[in-house]
Amino acid sequence: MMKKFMIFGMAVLMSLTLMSGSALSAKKDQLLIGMPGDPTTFDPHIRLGLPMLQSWPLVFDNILARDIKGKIIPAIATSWRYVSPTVLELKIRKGVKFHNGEPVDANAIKYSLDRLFDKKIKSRIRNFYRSLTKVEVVDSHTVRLHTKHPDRYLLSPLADFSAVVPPKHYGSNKLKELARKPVGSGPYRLVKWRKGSEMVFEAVSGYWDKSRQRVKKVIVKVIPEPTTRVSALVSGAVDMIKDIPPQTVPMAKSNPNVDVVAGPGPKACSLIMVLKDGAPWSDVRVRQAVNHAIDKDSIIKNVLQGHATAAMGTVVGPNSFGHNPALKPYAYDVAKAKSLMKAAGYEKGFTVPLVVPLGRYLKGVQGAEAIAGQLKKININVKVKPLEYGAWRRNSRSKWKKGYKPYWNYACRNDLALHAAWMYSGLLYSKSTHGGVRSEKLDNMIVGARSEPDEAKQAEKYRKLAAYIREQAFLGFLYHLDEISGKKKSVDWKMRSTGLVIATDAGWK
Amino acid sequence: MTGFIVRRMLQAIVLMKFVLIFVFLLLHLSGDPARIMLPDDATEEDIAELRNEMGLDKPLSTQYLIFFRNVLRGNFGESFEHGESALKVVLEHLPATIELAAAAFIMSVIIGLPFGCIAALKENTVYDKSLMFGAVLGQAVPDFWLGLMMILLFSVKLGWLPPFGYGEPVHFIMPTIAAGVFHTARLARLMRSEMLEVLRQDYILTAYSKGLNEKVVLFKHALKNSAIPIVTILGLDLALTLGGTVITETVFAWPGVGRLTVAAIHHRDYPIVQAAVFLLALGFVGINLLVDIIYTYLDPRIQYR
Repeated sequence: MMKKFMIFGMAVLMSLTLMSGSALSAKKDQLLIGMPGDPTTFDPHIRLGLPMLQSWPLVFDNILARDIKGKIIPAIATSWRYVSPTVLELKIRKGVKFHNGEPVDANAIKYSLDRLFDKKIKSRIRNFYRSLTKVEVVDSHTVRLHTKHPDRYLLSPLADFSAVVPPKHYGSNKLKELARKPVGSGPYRLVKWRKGSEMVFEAVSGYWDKSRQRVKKVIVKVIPEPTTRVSALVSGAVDMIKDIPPQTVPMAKSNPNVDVVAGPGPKACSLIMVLKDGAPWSDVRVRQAVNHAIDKDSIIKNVLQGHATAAMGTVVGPNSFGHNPALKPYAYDVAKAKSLMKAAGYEKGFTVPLVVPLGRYLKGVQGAEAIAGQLKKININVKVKPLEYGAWRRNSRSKWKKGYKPYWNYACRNDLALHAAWMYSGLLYSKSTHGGVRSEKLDNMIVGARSEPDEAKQAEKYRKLAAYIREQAFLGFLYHLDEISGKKKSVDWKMRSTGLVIATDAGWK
Repeated sequence: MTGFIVRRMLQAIVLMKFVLIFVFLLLHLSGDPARIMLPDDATEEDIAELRNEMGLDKPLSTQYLIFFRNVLRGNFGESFEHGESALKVVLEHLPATIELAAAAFIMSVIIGLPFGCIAALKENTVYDKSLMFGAVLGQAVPDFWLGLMMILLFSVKLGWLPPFGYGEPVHFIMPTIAAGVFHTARLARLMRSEMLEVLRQDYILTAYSKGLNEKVVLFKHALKNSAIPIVTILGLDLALTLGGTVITETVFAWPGVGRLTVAAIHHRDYPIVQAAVFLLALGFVGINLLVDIIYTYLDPRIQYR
């Protein structure tokens, strides 16, 4: 009886397995990608997030684009030039059509940028276009962007979050429809989307850049749990995946047909030391002591299993505009840290809470605890407080209010724009609700660098700014996290310096 | 009978109203979505502007009245993150959760009940001891661990089952086991103890002494009388599985409402959380109502209590 039951069970299992065989067999005209998440909306003007930035470029063209190394390249705009320090002129590619047949022209560019400022949209992307005052249509294929002040940084959002949409379609359809059924001019069309599970994209015919249509069909499978994602790659259920946690790298490598692609990413982790109400770290010597007392290499080796690079006394990585290659990391030197603490009058140390969001950053809590352990050597008693993400955000954004005592915050910021302006505006500029510094001198330097119209001079100003930030130790400089992805050996794909996995980069060898 | 059901339904409506108030207050007092949604470089002015656009700057009482009025019309508002009707998004994710919960429930019934009966009938034998050892183990094993171990064994090592996915019958196997093993084990243990207690009752002895055969005694007398606590547990189990599949959903990339709700809580996407909690609570209350009605069938004395 038992034997019969087992044979029946096995037969059912085998037949069910065969029924699902389609997912396990790779077809060369399609690519299956396992991603940690999918967008909440396909309306490209509402809000940003990694799933959006990795999915939208399949359906929408941005005004400009980036190559793999992060260099800004032409896209819908074939060229750009500053006709004056506050006027950027864009020449629009001719003969491009949206998937619904509307032409991609100057009016579409104007409509798409103006749409960000439409109150009904409640856009959270418009922050990146703060300096924009007017979009002027010069002729059918020329647009001029007017800014309040010289703003070369505008090129970054134009390359990253400037999806062009067809004006008639987006002007006449309801927002909830547009959130689900996008119409763009990109290389693919979204043909199926089961939220939280799967997105299917099919290549459109006649797209202007064939190099971005390497397969006919892209299927994105949403697999939030990292071990499952790695299992999917190892078992051959998907062709490539994004985000492999360091501890599962050996598992991914267990299949000889799998390549683990790891490299420095744009995410910089730092300690935000809130400079408020006479906190001990208002003294620059204390902040420098903190930087000297943190053994970054040890944390990278033991907590992050080697998958990070020590921060060179900056948060702006080597691939970003405004990076200063001359800067060196704060050396691990406990004796020097102790003498700095003594000179500042804090030989006996102090106690400070360090908040860290749960499940947000790679090994965030463990990293914070390691820091706490190391800082004991200079008598700083760090109390690590892991917080749920929403509570951490509220805490972080409310720090300047009365009743919030000064504290430290463990935060990692992804330099998606590959630009110093992006990092400083979110970490150090006084108006940022996330940052922990309110310094007029620093503000002036940040604004001055951003408003510099000449590219070479701007780079120089950012280098000086980086050196000043390092010297003043406005942050506890920790590390730049690696990006780790995986693919079948037969998949041809290289990692972007932004760390984003965009399916248009991948094809079969 | 009708009076009893009407009374229970009225109680359910009052309960749902309290659920709404509770969820609304809990969410609104625990964090401000405008502070979470905006990027790091957002200024206080940006946050204030977004709060205004989303109506979050109105007094809490006004916000609640607007919310309650809309809920009565079946409108939970537009999701902050998804930009479409929260109810629509939740309803889209609900079938996956119901299917998984139902599969886990069916597994617990068709395995847990017979195994519990067998263990009781074979009390203190090797069968009983091995079944109960299995049951204790089943209750002790965490679902996420079991899920991951199954993936490693059946997908990575053996290549028999897909490690994730939704939509085909084969995708149910591992998630159902992960979500159902605890309930199956608990049900088997409970069934065993209830059955043992009933089997020791005088009326069972009487039934045997009347000359009834074992099948009639077991199925007609013993099983029905041990069913009342079992029905309670089954009802609770079904409701709990509905709301408790979030970990299984995450491990197996199952597009259910649990995962959706947890993500919405992180982002303080009130409309989604409110719609999801409301529907799950409705399911919970509905199942309890059904259990109450089944009681009256199993033991007619209950409705007079």
